[in-house]
Amino acid sequence: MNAMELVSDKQLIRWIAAGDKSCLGTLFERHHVALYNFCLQLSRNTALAEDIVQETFLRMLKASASFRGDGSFRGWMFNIARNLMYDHMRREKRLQPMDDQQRDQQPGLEPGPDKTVADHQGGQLLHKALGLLPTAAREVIWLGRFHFDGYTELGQALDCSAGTARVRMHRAMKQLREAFLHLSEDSANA
Amino acid sequence: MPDKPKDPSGVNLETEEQLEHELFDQLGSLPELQPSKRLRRTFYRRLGQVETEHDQQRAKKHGWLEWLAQPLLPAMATLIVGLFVGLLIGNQLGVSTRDEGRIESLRAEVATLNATVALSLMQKQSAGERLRGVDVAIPMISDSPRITQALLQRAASDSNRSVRSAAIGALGPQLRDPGVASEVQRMMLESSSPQVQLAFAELVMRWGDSQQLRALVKAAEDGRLLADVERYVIEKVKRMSA
Repeated sequence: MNAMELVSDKQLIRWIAAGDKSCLGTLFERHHVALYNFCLQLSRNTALAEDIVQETFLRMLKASASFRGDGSFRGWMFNIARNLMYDHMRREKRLQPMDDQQRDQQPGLEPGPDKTVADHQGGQLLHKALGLLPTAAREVIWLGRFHFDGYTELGQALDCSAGTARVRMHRAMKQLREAFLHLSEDSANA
Repeated sequence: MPDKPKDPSGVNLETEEQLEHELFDQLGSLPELQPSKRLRRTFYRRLGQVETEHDQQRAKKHGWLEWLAQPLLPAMATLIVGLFVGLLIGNQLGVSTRDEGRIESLRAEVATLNATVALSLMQKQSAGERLRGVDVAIPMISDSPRITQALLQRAASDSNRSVRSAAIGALGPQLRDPGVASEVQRMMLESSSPQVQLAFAELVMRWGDSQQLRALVKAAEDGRLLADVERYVIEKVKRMSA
């Protein structure tokens, strides 16, 4: 085991704040894939997602001194990524969604050896249903499903209270269910 | 994460909630996508730029006096004196020993030149050049205390993690030398940066003999290491002896 693996994220960000910028590489290696998938869910655009991930880490470098140890590091990190994404969206007025060809080229959507065709079809429908949701719904579902177990931390990432995060999750899951059912019906009729 | 239904007034509420739970679970089967290699490349390039800018600002603050303190000047002076002495000796010796002396003198010149290059590279602002300096220094480490000292300094304080790791790696075999070992021990205990102290501790655990390891564990037990490093050392030693 590498010595750095035992150092917590919070500790690393404190060292960065103290001037050791090389620790940012360790944080990058730990979190860039998770951040990339989150940004990809928001933007549906691979190049933009990568740009935002990069900007997020450089912003963390600048803002390291402002990190408060009492909050969650991941909540803080996802919040930075989210704000950068929304800033970009505001500048661009609209997101450029992934076109169908790009979407079809995404790796990992082929059925694996342990998946049935029905599972695969369900996975594709779910992926499409998620893509139909507004950005705000996608972000809360993605973060709640993959990164945060509690609403307090989720709220920190989303810049809202735990109660609001809970309500947003409830609404977003409802939207996902409706989109999924709608697509399932279309698929059955086709 | 979706909540269980609390109000059963809706006819399909239970089913709807159940479907939401299933969808929530199914989301876990969506693949984790990998970013392109470009992301890592551009990130490290930009981080390098930030570090270089930082180093340049620091260098500007210290001014030209710092240049005098670099190891390049003493090394150049040694080279010139060496050449001069070589010429004098060469003139004093007879024809039969002249070739031998010339070869020795050339060897010494090359060694001094290599050391100069290594020391000079290790002082450069670019992390890539410093890394090259460490590479050039490795074959000379056992012959030159100044090279060892420069590597110790890179290991202790280089702002770039790759350079630091390379320097620490280069020092590993030198831990057999009691002078280097005690210097490593001193730098480790004096370091106020947990990352640096951790790197030195790792060096001792990887390359040190049993006596050096015992000294490290004692330092951890006596609370002479920083808290994070102390925890790491104790945990790792436990695992090593398990």
